[in-house]
Amino acid sequence: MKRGDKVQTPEGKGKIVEIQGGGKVAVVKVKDKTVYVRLPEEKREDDGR
Amino acid sequence: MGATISTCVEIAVEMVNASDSAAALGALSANQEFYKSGEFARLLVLADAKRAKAICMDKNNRARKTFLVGSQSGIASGAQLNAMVGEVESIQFTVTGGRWAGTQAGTPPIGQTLAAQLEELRIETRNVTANPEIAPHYVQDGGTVFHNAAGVVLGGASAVSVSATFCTFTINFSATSLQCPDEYTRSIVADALAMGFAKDGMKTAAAAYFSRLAEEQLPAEAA
Repeated sequence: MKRGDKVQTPEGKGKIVEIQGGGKVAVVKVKDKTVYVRLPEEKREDDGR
Repeated sequence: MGATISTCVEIAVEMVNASDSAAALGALSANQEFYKSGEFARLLVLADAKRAKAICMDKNNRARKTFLVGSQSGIASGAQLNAMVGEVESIQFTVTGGRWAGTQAGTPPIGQTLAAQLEELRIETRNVTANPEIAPHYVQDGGTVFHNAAGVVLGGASAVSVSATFCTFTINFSATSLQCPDEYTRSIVADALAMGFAKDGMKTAAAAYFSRLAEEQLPAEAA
């Protein structure tokens, strides 16, 4: 997964705004909230920045 | 919800002697031209706001709960807290999965200085060893909050969200009741009277007396 992709979080569905932790953590924006979620191993890729 | 403003106005009008002796309690005399209808209600709302701010600024004040209605959820690390009165009451981490699953209060890292705490937080956020024992930590620098939610995720949580609870206050000049709890009523009325007596610089001694009364009458607030 990469920035801009949509993911489901406990707060609802949101868009990835940043990838951290070597590709393992996605910073997801759900409306005006920010949630940090773990990316499953098979869906990880570098942030590309 | 505190005392009704109409009752407080009755007290204030009688105290400034602006009511005819034969008139109903608190009825403004038509013969006095100093105070207008509705004026004391406005002063009471101002005094109420002053007292509310003092309550919110004191984290040990039990009445602070009355105004603890502000909240901000899903705070990103490095984001600013919303406008509030007084200090943040708590920063909570809602963690899904992993060692710290559930909702708990975050705590500052052990570092003694802000710089040391931020450095510690930076290392925890990276959590290169995927240590599950990295506890939810935050550092507040002025109005900005930094936290290690990403590090908690790297330690095994599937999702982390950070929220804050704090006091807010909105003045309402159309209110029918004071917002402060009942035990502050006398202090608020005294404060309004201090402002009323000081109008046009007329009765400054009376104004000073009621101003002192407003401060002295406060109940002991320390824990």
